Amino acid sequence: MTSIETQLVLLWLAVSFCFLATVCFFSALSFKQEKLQNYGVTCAHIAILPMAAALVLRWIQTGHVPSIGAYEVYTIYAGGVLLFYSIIQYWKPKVTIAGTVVLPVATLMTGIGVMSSTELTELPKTYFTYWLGIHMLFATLALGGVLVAAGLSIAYLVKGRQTAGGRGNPLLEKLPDLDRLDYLGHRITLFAFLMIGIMIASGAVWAYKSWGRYWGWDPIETWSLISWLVYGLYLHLRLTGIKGKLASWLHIAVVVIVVFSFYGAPYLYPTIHDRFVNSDSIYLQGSD
Amino acid sequence: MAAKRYLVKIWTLAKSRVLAVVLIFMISAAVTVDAFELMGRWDPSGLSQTGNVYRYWWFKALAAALLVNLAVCTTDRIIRQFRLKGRVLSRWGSVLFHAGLAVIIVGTLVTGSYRTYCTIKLIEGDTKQIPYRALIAEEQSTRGLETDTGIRTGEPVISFTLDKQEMIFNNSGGIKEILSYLAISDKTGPDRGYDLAELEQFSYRGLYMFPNAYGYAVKISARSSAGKTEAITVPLQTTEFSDDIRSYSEKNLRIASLPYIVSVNFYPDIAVGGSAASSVNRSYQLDNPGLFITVDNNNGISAQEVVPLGGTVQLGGYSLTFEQVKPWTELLAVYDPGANLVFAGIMMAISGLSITLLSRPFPAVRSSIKNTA
Repeated sequence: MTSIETQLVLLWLAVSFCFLATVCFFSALSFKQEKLQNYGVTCAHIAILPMAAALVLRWIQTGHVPSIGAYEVYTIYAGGVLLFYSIIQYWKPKVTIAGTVVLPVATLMTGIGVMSSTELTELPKTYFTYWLGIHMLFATLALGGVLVAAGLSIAYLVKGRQTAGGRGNPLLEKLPDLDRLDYLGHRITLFAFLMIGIMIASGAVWAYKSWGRYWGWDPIETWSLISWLVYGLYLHLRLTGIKGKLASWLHIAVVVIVVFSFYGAPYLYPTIHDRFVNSDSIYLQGSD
Repeated sequence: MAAKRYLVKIWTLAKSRVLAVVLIFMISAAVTVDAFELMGRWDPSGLSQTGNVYRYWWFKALAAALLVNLAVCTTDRIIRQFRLKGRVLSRWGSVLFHAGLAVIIVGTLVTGSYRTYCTIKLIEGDTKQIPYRALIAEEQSTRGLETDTGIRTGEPVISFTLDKQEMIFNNSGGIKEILSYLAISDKTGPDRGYDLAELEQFSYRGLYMFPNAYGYAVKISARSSAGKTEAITVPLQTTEFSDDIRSYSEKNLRIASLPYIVSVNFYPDIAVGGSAASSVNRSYQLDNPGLFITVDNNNGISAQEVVPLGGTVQLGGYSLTFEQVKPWTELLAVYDPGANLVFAGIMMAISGLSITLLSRPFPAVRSSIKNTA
């Protein structure tokens, strides 16, 4: 079995476990069974193993952090998001419910990745630097933070609605009270804000080292700046007194912008970040 | 007293969160509209873009207003922190973060006003004398420094020499690595030597430089029937394609003593097929260099021939000789006094935000949670 075939088998295994975990999370909410949620967490933990193995194999095969083309980008993001969710869930079990948002997204990302081209392409010299790894690490952590915080915002809205309507779901009742949930979401949002900031900063240092400029208004750079500014705006609005339901809706709107800048923008524009979704891209910047 | 009251009002407005929210919203909205508008005009192959929102005066004014807001808010917080008895670490984190953002904005404004870059193409064995002012001058940012610029008496002049260029090849004949051996001197000290790989950076008198392009220069001599000889050295354009394929060419060359227009394609290791047009390049090593010459007599192509190194092509009463081939390295020299400020600001902002996140939460947040619990 070739390395690629092994990777694909491992990734399909990961997709299966992610899908199972998604089913468990939704069933747990629908049938009000906490046990199912625990099965979901176990499946998410198991999914990390084949995904990590596939990513390590790819890293060995290409000689760089998997980050070129849809196959590498989607799978590394999915792996990173899953790992982040598992760590934060272990550290703060009260955020377990965020898996209801994180797992479907991870399933989708791994699925798209595994069905994309696995072809290897020659890379420009600018990619063979440890800054690529740093940039990808913080991008992954940022996405993980954004998705977990989004999960908490949705949980806040659902729990708030159920509480107001006098209905009860044992799973939602086990969540912290609304203020605490809001606060947890705020802390994770702050974490995501920091991670997006470091992702942009590491990209700026990398660009300066490669092309002698730290900012080029590349569409993806611009969209990541917009994400960061909008996150900053949201955090300031919270400080001016906006909290609870309105803050949760605002946060979901911010998450839509962040997800667009991660996944939408590279498909809409010709950009030096094209390689993140299309390994055959020939757009080269300067000496690229 | 009235003046003091107005000053307090201005200070309160300048430090307010509402102003911060309004400014961040306006900047985000402007950048978002620009990002959508960018879809139709962004060219990733070009280094400099035109028409971006950040070039407008009102956008710079918004950035300057945000800078004032950040500076006043940070100063106010520092004063309050020193006055408070129980100092909270997370508040210091916030102060550091906002101060870092202010430094980043100052850095970007400095970059926007003073950043320049230029390219210096050096043929192996050549030396170029370039005045320091020319390297950092605004007008140089759009064109390469191809020829020695006029030197004024007493001004600092930097001398660039490409002593040698070395190519390392992979098994299939493709270029694995290119090393450029440079000597740089400004007569204020000993010559400095640099052995640079592709994109390997170095700093020299506040300039940030690195080799960013390579190619070949060919020397062609033209001889007329009257015995008049003229030689030109042409650094050929390098075009890079995917899969590491490169081509070296120059179109529409004019040599004063020749009544023709000449275009050339250079092959480092040529394999000539049945006709000149079917010539192919076998590798990038200088094994069998050849020049594919196309001559235009103003009415159309009059001759096409492949000439080996030292070979001559006859054109009526004229002859063209492919005399010499040498590699060239292009240096990109960037002058950006704002870059270090930006990087310092980034460090401050990241440290500040990390402190805020890792230290205990804001008392206001904690007390709100306690009250509701």
